[in-house]
Amino acid sequence: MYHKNLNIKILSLIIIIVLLFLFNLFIGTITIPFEDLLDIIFGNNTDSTNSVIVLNYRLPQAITALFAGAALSVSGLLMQTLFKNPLADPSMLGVSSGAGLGVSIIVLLTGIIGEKALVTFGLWADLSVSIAAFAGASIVLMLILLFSFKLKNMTSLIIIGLMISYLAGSITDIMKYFSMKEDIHAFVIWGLGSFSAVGLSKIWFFTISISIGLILSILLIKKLNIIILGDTYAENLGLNIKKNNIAIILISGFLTAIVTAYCGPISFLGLAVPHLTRFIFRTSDHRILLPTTMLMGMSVSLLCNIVARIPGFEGNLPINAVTAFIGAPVVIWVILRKRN
Amino acid sequence: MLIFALFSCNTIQSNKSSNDNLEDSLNLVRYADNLDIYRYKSGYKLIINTNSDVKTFYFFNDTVNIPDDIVNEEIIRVPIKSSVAFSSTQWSVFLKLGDINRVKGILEGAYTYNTEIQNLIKSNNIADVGLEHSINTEKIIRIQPDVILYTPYPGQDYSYLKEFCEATMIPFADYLESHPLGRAEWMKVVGLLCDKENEATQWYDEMVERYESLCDLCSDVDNRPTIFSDLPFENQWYIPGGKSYMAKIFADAGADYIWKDNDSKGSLHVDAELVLAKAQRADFWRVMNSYDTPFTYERLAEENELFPLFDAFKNKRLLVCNVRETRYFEQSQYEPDVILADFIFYFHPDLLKNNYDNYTPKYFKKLIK
Repeated sequence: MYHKNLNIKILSLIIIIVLLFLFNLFIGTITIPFEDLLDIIFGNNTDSTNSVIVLNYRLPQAITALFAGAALSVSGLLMQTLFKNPLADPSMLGVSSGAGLGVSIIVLLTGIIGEKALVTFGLWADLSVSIAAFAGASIVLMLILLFSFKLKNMTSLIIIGLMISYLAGSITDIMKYFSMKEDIHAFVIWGLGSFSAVGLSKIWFFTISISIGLILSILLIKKLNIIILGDTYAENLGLNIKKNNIAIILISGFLTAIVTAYCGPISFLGLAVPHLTRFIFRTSDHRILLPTTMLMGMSVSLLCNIVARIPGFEGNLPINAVTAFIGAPVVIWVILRKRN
Repeated sequence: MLIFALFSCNTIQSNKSSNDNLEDSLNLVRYADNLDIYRYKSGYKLIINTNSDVKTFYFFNDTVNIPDDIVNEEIIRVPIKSSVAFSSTQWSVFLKLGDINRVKGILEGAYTYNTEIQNLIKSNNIADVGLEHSINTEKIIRIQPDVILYTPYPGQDYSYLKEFCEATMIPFADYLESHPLGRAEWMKVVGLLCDKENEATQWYDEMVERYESLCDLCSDVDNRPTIFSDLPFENQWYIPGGKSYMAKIFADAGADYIWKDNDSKGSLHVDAELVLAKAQRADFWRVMNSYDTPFTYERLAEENELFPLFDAFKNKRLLVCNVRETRYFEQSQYEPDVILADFIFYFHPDLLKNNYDNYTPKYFKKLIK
């Protein structure tokens, strides 16, 4: 019975994802008739402005949302399981703050070397921003790994992660203080998150690297299930806890770093989606939890991207505002339902 | 146009001046919306509107007595001896009038491209008093300026500076002006501060004459090329509104700005698909660039793959201004006639040929490669 139910739930989720994906192609600032959209999707209309909008702008954005949602949610699940803490999320280890620091360094250095705001011109801005974000995130990740060799206690590692996060945040603030206002504006925009910065040419790198991270996370499923049983039990089962923890941190950090590099520090999905998934699928078995978290992440992030293009507004709303706006009430509702 | 401007200014002024006993009620301001200047007895009266506030100042030469009726008003003795200028659009007028010695502090000194100012900072004749959001109050206190010229952005409150120095705080609301000739007219404020009102007015009037004659050249062109503006950040475009400064220059240069029907005087935030939908077929694309690195179509295409989809990109019709080389932010405000001529050079090359032989654009260059 449970399995039948489970199959129905998973199937509905997949259908929802397909529909949301199509909606992502359909809804935007520019109204494109549905028949035209079908023509564009089936390749009957390839050189109108509308086809450019759908294929070159909305399609990569929808794919980005799909993969970013899956990556952040899985990353959050890994963190929650590893730290046995329901409040853990990908930003907890300081990876997002590291990315932010990388970006602010780039912004400030361009201010000093280029002597003018980074945004007044834009060339390489997008490109160098993602490289800087990835570098910042990776450096923090390496630091965390070094500490994880030293520390066995995961709570201490969380605290160290938070401290690194504060440290990176404070350096970022100092840099912002000495930057031109146009650059601060650019930094603020980056911090609001966006799925539109990954174009068609970068999408391959983005999707392939996230896919690798997701596949590696699937390989961890058995070990994740053992971790919930507790360290002693896990050790008795012959699990090398240290090696295992490092693998989890590495994969979770890698997924977050890639997404943050291209989309900015997108908050909330990593924290909220695993909770939603546990509530809907009522399981803590990672064989089910991990793939379903991936699917939930995809659908929530596609939904957020639609809401961000709220009709009647000519710019996009920031993704970060939307994720929390939609996510927070849902999590509260889930917790209240659980109580009852 | 001019008659209309004078007429409209006069009507505003007659409302404002009913209780003021102005000796000469003619408003000396022609185009600026937020600035009024009147002769007042042996000096001048200046009214500045900053959207949130209206401020009145009186300017009197050192040598004359202050009329009794205004002793409690904000009075500035000119020429001033020292000032702090928050924006390059302020100190550049002092520089032009040969009065840069009256400027003792500037903001964003570390970011200026002007070598003369850089040298004055190095030789400690001008202090760099920080950035807009992080002003070095102590340096300003040490300068004890007669006047602080600040930019009255909403939410910025500099009134606390009054606690530390006697300076008169003048809001320099030039950025609120959407008419190019209105924005340039703020040079007259600096002219008054240096007691060089006539010189500033002459400089301004000559510029207006050139601007208007260029406008006339394009007033009845049949073929108006289309243009759009700026590069996006993360696919979010911040572009000039339809009633903005740039939109006005595009229109005066005989072009159709893609967003000309929009009503905003400031900037608009639009996403990439709207820009694609509206501007993909536009003839020209205006771009601001602040880098030394070579700016090429190839590199632009690497940065954002939507760029090559625009006709202006395919046909190599990007009009690029290197703000660093041209010192655009510091100079262009007082040379709208030059910006206008630059655009006419590209939009209607024949028109300029007949009137300006061998014109070389100063601010905007067509990107060739």
